[in-house]
Amino acid sequence: MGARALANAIASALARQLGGVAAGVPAWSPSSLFASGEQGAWYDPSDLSTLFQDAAGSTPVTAVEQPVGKILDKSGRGNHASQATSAARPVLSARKNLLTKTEDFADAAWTKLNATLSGGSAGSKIVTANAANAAVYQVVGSANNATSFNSVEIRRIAGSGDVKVKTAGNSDAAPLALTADFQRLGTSGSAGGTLNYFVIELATSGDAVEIRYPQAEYGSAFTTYQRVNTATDYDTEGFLHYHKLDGVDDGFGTTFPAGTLGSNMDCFMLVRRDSAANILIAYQTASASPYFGVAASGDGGAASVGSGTPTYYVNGVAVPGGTSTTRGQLHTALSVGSFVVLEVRNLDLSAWTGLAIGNYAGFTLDGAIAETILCPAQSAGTRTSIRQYLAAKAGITL
Amino acid sequence: MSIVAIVPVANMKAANDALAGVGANNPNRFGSNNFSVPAYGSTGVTHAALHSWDDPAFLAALKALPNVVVDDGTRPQGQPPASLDPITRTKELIEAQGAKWGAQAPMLPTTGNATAGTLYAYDRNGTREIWYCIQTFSRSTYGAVPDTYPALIRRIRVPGTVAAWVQPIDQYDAYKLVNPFTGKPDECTFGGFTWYVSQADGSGNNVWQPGVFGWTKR
Repeated sequence: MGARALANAIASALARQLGGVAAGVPAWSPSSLFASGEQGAWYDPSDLSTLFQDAAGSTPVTAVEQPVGKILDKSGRGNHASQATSAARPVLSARKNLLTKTEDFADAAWTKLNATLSGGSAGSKIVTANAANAAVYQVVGSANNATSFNSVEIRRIAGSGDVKVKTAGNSDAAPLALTADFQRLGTSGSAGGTLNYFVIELATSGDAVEIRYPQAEYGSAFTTYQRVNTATDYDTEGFLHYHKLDGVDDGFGTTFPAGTLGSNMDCFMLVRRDSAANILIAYQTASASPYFGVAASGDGGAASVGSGTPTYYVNGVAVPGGTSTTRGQLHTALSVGSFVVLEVRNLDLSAWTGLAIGNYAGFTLDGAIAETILCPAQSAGTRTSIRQYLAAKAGITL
Repeated sequence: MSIVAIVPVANMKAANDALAGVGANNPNRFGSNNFSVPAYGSTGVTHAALHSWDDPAFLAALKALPNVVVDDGTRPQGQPPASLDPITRTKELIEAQGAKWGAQAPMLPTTGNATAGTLYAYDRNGTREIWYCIQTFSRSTYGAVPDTYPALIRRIRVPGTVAAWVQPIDQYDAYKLVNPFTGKPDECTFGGFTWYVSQADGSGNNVWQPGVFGWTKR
């Protein structure tokens, strides 16, 4: 294990502990929910042994950014989900750092404006300003208007002028408090639509800084650095794996006889929306009810149809509306750009003959799913365990 | 870079069959219904689109299809790079064909103007409908259900949905014996039953009420 991989593994272990798993206590596992033959489904993208590129399950997923055509159900009930249509398959991703060429500032991915690169050690470069307001920057794709945190390890080499890290929506960031030693500094700000900027700006000609390990990530704080070379070549160990869905036609599902699922069930999902587009979490049959988890801006319709009278929670906080939560209320509760634990309690799925996720026409999920657990309704204590398990996996503070 | 593609609805079945491997000596095995995203004109579905994550074999198969417009994200030197956002890419390609994407339609406003040439979503008892605004009008003044104003706004039937029967205005929103998008008869609910079109006029259109002519109960 390399030094960075070791550091990431330690960070992941710490994150799990901060998520509520005490040292010395065996980690709670969703497998306990199905130990006595309980009905449901459990889809876990972080377990590559359960993923296949084709719907038949003959070609395993061996790396990130490969399509996912079949997901084995870890509950043991055999509710394996699949997608036979190529264009509709999600991909497996573990990407967190939105930048590319994070250890190669000389690459064309980085635009140098009135700036010269020189020296440095492995992965780092000295940036010298040839004129006022020199910059090294990269344009990155982003969830629509999502908040991101741009940061870099940086130290001052020469001069005393202002040095800033900017985002598209934070062009007036405060100057960094630089020293002669490397420290990670950064700025939080929103993207401009579906594009963002990672900008290191030197205000004064002749000033110089040394930079390394830049990261642009969703949220408002730095987490763990992820090396990214290209869209398919990046660090994966210790990073959250998820199914990335395109918001156009991606999804997967399974069918089963009516009565397979119960009349009082809970659904937990570690999910991220990547735009403000309307979404629908789960349904039985395309273009028809029943379904649940409809989130639509300003829509007063019911978030659940034909699935009992469930209640919704996001990161353990009740979504307004109780058993009558509207699509608009759920849309507001599900933030863009950040993983959340979505909890749907007390679903009646007893009449359902299938379960599909992601691609309900008009409500296709533009975002990511890092885990799905569908199980009989649980006690408050067990719900807390599930929530903490999922939150720890994504580094969410409850 | 991911792939977006679009095909006129008249060529949709042939394109999907070709990708699915239908036909003698067809080596493709990309599954059915790859083109599945409806794009609308002023009277109904005009195109079908898709988005796929990067897949060289699938891209090659798409490029070999007639009547299909493919955008693999490459841009001529000097032009801005393609967006990395699948929704943006898909929307751009649909609109480049002069069509609109119903899934991205905003809700029909309850106040202010509805704008001519715009697709709107309208929620009717939990069912999402798509409406095309023929002429700009004030919802503050004309704020009733959109069916009230057929000269200003018309409903666009979403292919594959089974909604309550509505009297068609003309051939464009008539129920189809064979819907070009789904390849199946249109369906509706009426009188507590689900019906499908089993007979139509010489053009494949059915404008009659279920139980009167051309409908069969499921």
